[in-house]
Amino acid sequence: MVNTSRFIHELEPGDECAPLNYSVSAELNQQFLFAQEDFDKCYIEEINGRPPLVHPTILLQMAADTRSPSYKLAPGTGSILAKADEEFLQPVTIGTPLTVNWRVTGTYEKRGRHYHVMVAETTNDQGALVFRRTLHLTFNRRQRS
Amino acid sequence: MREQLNEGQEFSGPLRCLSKARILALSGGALGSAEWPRKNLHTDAAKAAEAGLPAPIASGIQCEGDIVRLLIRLFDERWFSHGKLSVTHRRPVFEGTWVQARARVGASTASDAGEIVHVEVWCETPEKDIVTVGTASCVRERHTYQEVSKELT
Repeated sequence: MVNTSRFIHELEPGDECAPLNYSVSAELNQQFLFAQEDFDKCYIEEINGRPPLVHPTILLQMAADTRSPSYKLAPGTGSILAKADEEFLQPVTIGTPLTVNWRVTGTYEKRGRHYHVMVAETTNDQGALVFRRTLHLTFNRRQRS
Repeated sequence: MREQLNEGQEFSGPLRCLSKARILALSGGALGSAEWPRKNLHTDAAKAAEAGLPAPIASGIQCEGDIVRLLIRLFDERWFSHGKLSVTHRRPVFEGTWVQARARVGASTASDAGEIVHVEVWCETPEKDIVTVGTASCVRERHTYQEVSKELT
């Protein structure tokens, strides 16, 4: 169930964040090629009739929990990405409509800290899963100076 | 040319500087948007201070992206369909830091999809400080008929 009222640290297993719909234009793709200094032609040119590929960094970026339209961080709280697990399942070409869905799948304690496990699944307009990112998040209360 | 990927082999990506321009390009939002650059702990000193940081830091995704680039070099386009990566960001990376992705080939395991090659990966500074560390795996590209024939003769 999509939960849009709670702060991110309040989400429980089974809660979902609002999905994000996006597609990557050639311009945005090239912006990320500059960010990563990676100008491989597969991201720029059409090869054998296939449009340029979306740079993988964009898939990583757009799967961050902060990208959900319902993402809310409580004032005075910091969010730390402790670990990320990723699976690349299908190549994505520029212009492909994509949807990211986020779901909290579990929580655990480690070395005195509480962690949330959130799975972000990116699907294309055919409903095929193209990328999955599992985020291990922990939150801290920031000290006020 | 495809890499051989023998156990113990090490590979390096290009050494590069995470400059302010490159950090803004990744974390500032789409160029041309009215709000560019978007204010967050990667682009704005005040937001970084709110998070307890002395200065803005590069997103961990930039080092992750460097590692993925190296893995694509090792596994070619099979990475886009069979690539798996798990990373931990060990320390913040500030603007102006030079970083380099590295990989060390580990053992292979069999699967229904083919031979899976396991790789240790990390991103380090020239001083050998490890900023991102993890493991990766991907299906090794099957030999072509010509390669198998050559090996048999």
